[in-house]
Amino acid sequence: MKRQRILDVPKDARTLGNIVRHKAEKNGDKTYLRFGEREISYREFHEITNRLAHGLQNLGIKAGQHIAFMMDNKPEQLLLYFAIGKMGGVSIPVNSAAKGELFVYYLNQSDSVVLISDAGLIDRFQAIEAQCPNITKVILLNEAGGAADLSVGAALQAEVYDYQSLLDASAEDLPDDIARISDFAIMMYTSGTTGPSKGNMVPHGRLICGAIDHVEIFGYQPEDVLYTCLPLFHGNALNTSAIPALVADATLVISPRFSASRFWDEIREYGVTAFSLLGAMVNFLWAQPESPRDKDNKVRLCMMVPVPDFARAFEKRYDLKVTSVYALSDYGFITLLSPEHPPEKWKSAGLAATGMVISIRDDDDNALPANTPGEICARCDVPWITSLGYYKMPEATVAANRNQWFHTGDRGYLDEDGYIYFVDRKKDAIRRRGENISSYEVEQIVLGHAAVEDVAAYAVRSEMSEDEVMVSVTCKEGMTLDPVDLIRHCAANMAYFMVPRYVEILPELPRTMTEKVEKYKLKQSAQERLDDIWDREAAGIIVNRHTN
Amino acid sequence: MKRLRDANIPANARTLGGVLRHKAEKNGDKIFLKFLDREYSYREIHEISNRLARSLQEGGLEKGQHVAFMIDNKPELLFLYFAVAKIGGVCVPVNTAAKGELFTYYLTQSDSTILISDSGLVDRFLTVQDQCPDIGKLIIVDDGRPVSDATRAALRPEIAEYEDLLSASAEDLPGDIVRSRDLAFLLYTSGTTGPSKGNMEPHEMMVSGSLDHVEYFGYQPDDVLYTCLPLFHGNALNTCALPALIADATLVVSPRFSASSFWQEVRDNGVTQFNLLGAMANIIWAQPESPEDRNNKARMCMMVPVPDFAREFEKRYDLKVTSVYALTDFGGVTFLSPEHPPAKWKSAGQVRDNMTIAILDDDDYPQAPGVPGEICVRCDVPWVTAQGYYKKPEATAEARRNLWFHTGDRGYLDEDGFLYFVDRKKDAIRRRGENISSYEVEQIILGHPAVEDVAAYAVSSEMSEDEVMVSVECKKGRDLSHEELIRHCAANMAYFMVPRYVEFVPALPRTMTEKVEKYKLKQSAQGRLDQIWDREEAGIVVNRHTN
Repeated sequence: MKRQRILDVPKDARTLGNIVRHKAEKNGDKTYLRFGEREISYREFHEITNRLAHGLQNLGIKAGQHIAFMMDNKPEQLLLYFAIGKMGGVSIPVNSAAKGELFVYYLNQSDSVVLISDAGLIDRFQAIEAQCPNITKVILLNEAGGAADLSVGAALQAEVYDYQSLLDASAEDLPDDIARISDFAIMMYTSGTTGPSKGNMVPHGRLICGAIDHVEIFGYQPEDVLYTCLPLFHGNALNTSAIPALVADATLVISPRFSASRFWDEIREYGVTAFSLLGAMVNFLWAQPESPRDKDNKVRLCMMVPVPDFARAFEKRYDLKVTSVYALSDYGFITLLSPEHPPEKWKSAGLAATGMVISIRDDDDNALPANTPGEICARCDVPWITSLGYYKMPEATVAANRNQWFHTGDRGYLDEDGYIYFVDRKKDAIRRRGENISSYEVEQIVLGHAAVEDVAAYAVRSEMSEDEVMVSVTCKEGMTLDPVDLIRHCAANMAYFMVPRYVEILPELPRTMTEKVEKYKLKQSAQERLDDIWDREAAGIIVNRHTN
Repeated sequence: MKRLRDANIPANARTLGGVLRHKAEKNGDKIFLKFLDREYSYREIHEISNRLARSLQEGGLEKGQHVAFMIDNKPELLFLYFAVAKIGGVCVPVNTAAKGELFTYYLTQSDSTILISDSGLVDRFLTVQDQCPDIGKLIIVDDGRPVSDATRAALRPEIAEYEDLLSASAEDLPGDIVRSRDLAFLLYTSGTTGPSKGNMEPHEMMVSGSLDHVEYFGYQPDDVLYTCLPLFHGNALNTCALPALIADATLVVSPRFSASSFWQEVRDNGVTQFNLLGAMANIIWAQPESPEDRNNKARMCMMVPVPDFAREFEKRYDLKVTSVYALTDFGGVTFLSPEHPPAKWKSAGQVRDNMTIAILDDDDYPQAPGVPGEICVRCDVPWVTAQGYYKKPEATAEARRNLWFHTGDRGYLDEDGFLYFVDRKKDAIRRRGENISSYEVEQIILGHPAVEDVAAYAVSSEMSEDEVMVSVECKKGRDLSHEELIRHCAANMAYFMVPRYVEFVPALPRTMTEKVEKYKLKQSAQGRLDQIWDREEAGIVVNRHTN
């Protein structure tokens, strides 16, 4: 794949700690990070992370230990990833919405011994501390800056420290060989929609080399301003914005959270040139009323996952180029859709990342020809740029890697030019009268209806005990939707066999903390009361190959 | 790599049962198996294994159940393997030397529920049966040593006799019970350290591996393949028995290896191909030369590893040497074809189709051609390789990190892609900046006419650095001085490889599978190093200027 830029990152700089030192030497007082009014230069970022790393060491925290943190978007979260990387620890970012049993699970499953928490979130830990005896140290962060009020942790059994006090430690460089490219740096939990979350062991090499590939293929430049409003405890913000900005000698803007109404104001205010958006956020932006100011922005690149049907129109409306990736926390970047992609490939997720080999396989792991959907499998020729497996779940690791291919659990196909097209989560595929139906495709088309806010398509069992397509739909504020009208839209836009039989309008879809729709809940609930749900056949609407 | 034959197996016959049926239809009354004075045709083996499979099924054996075998080489073992495989059971062959705790380990770690045992070995099970409560059934194969009434009375599991299983119908079983991706065997590899690991081998691995043997080596229907290796190991099974079946050839099974009767058996049976493992090749080579040496029909001999005398061996016995690089943990990786270029005779050959070899350093980065590193392998097609270690997912995942199978062996590829084995990775010796292959040291010492066997390994000297030590076993009636051994070494190896410590031992400690237990030698030597003959103390100087 064509590279828009060639970076020269020395091999020994490919750890979280060493890349910061390398970039600080190169970029000095240039601003790396902006958050609200705050600005942190490359040099400051290096010095602060040195202090934090020494500060953690001074508390007796050692290389190889697991350090959990629970906080909302702010520079300190990013500083901690790099500081922990410098002292050879492992960062365990916890979703800041976690509480109760789930929080216990993250802390214990990860074998964390330290928790660094927003002071305002410490109640969550206090409520479960008795179940997490291995957490012996808690470090509190005052969200407003300055010294933390340690009295909020007075009732804790663990020793309590102030994040601010860590900054008193030496700013001197740490030895550059504490962590190696192959060492485990960050544990990223993937929230399965079923089963307990799995902790992906992400090595330093994956973080840095993935970012280098990102920058080179998308062509991020030193004058670029990358923006993220996604949470830094997830892979997207870290791996497609924060670390690429550092590697690109560019500037990173962190926003506390996504807001459709303020989004473009922030973009203009910071002079943002590139941002990335996930799933429904793109729909929210697109649904904003058109404005003469739409083109008034400096953005040249927008990464979208997945690429929506309106992507080409989005490019025109905002005067930018859409890029995309196919990536998994469980493995790494598998493909990238370059801004220079051929126009006809705009719906794809692009070409294989550097060193990556993709193979589409059937249920018996036999390779499938081009344009035939199957499970997307990948294999990397370069070591340490993929996840190392699931922490303490070796059976799951072995199963996902059977026959020496990483099995993504996603269905998709490659075209004859090697561009990849995502079809569906494998377990979300619907099989009806011999046809494989992609729930993703059904959803994309339903989303095209003007009144639809969001949708989930899934299979229910009909009286014939065969799969039937059902959709649960939420409407845009102030709008209503008639199932008959939705069916008309579907019949006009999809193959007859994909047109849903059952339709239900809901106020909202059930979601995991990471905003994934919990289809299994919808399915269970619908299956139990199928007779009460609007049924196209009962309504007498016939859709077949002759419709239209 | 060039294939010397096309022995295509249809997709629906790529299971042990499927391939046997396919071959029985094709070869009918042709003799497949000879054992002492017994002979069985392709059709008979298919029918007998059908009968056994039906009886086992009626007796409650279901797809996926694990069946352990404690049986010395005999036709019944092969019949039973096929019978169990035909109904989708998983064969767990146990080394017949196993007893006590080790036997218990095999039976319980494998989750076996049925044990099929030689009658003469039933007492071994009796002593461990209380530790193996999951074995609910014992099937006894009469080996001429009857089970006493007292033993029978004391056995806890239900007992069945092999002979009684032959009365069931010989009709074919449905062909769709077993799929080529299903597990066929759990083959244990005896680590020289740590507990044995059970390798999960699918039907496809066994069929495609054997098929490649036939095609790369060019085994023909008129070939007679001979094995005296135990059928509870991968070599006899996967490089001899199954290839013979796939080649439409004839298989001769011998009860055990005997250097003195070896060539007689080969001549009597008109053998055209045989395999020799490790020390067996040395023992055959050490036999006195005879005018009869070339009086044989053998055209190929597979040797693993290829010894230094391989070229002379070829001339002396008028045959061609082939070799493989293969692991029970993964499968066959390379083949040294009988048509290999003469210059490559010391290699293990080239990689199979659909596989890729990489020589990686300790950080998994590739080495340049000619530079040794860990031999790592990837396979592009499914189920052709072992699926990992049974109930040891950590070890399975570790061996496959970065999606390369890490063999634990050191070797290198030459510029033409031929593979050269250097050492077991953990047996490599590092001395004053030089990596020394214990395997190469051993090969050279074996070249001394008085040496029967040898183990080379590292000990830590007073400088706490690796020094080379060898434990040497002399041939019967032969004597060797320390000085003479060093002279031989200095004349034949790089100065830095020449051993510093030498000890003569009556016999090397070995595992049941005849692997030398170097860790035991090392431990013992390290504890009494000042009492062991030391070249430096003896004042023998060996350096780059010696010679």
